[in-house]
Amino acid sequence: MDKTFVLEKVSAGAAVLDRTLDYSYASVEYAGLVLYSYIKRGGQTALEPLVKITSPAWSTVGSMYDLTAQGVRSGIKKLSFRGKEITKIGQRLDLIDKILAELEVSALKETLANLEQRLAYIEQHGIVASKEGGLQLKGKKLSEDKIMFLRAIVKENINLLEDNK
Amino acid sequence: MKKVINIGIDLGTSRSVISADNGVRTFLGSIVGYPKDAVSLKLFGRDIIFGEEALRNRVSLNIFRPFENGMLKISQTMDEKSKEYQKAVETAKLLLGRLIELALDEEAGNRDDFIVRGVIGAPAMASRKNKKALLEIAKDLLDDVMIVSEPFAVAYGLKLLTSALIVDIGAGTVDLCRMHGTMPADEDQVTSTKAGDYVDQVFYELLKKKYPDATLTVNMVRMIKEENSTISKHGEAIFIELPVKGKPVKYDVTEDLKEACSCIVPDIANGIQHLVASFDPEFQKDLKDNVILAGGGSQIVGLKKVIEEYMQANLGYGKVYKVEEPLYAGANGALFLCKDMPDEYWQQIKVRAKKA
Repeated sequence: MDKTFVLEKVSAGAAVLDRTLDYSYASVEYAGLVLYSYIKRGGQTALEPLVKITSPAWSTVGSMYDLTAQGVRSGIKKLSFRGKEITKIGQRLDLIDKILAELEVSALKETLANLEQRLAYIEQHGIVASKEGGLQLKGKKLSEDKIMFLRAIVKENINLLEDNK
Repeated sequence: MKKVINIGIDLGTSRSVISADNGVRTFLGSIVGYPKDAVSLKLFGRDIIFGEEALRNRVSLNIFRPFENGMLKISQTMDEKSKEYQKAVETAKLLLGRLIELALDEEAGNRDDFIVRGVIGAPAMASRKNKKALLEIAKDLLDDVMIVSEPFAVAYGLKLLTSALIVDIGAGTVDLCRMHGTMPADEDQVTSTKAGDYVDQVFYELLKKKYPDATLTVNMVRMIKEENSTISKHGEAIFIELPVKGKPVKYDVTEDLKEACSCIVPDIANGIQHLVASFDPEFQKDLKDNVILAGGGSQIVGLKKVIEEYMQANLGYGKVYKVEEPLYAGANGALFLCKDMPDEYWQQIKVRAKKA
């Protein structure tokens, strides 16, 4: 392979990498959590694919190393700078996450409280959830005889309460 | 929403029993003791002692029994401001409060976390004043309360609301009540005060007369009676040890105990006959088929047979049954009533109680 051709290609690759990183900042800024977490792991993680791309060139052309390293260093600097920016975005996202979570929890709590209140009201008025699913009347259904006895007891007690003698 | 705890209470002359739907079932001697002085107060570490503990330590306590003849110890003519009335009400309130505490012991949380509803059994022929006083006492301790005739509570618990004759033999009274599908009226009920306490007194006097050298108390003879009560002709001989000048001496009290226990039979037999004979003749047989013995006195060995023999001789026929849990039959029935009572009925009572 022609040395000049390779050098041109590599320097062009570094420039492309530089431009790509510029664009990727904007993408990262908007893309959110997935890319954020990827970059947050550090430059090492970001460099790994670059090393993989460039390592075949190192083995064949020694001088390519400087140019490649230059491009990579430039990339690292950008990444490091962008990393700080991204960390800030990340912190903001974390905050938003937290607020969202809190909102979600309080909304859930409110919904549960409403449900519980509603259930208590329904249960108080004689309907409970059955084991088999669905609703059923609370307790045993009393026979007419028993209802009559219970009414009589209530009447007797009311008479006692109202008796002022 | 607060948890509702239903309780049934049988406030008896000798024992007060409670059954709750949280599984607690217990009883307490109907006795309240107050330490006599600072020494006994220090000894007990409390200013009120209840039940058996009070009875065991009665020497160092001022003892009060709030119930007599199955009722609160107040008379129809007693002034509500008198010391005697106030004391009876105070001790009954303490006792009831203690029973409720026992029922709530198993529950986690404060008293305010629960709605405690109770039905209290009162003797069949308790006066209105007595029932009202009981309601007054209970309404400060329970969120909702009702009073019901004791034998009716027993019948309700046994699901015998028709064609049955309940004989509830307590310490203070024997309550007889016929059930015929409606709420028992006064003419459906008979009460006799010849009950457990009366047996104790007769037994005590017989022993005092027969063994004048022996020293004994009513409490001692009560314990002997509770362990050995019988009127059976075929039972074993009963020997007890009584101190004579400090030395225990063994006595045979078989016949004395039988005689004492038998003294409640005539009133029970006459009560049964009266309730059967005054009932609709077409349904008398149904009543005679279902005579139910409840209460501590139903444990007298041979009583069932003696009553059946009496009914055979005087009513031509009779079948007598004993309840399985005589001590708890009243409280269990009251608990069933409490649980069955619909919320709207409790609400009605609450509204009237607030107005009263």
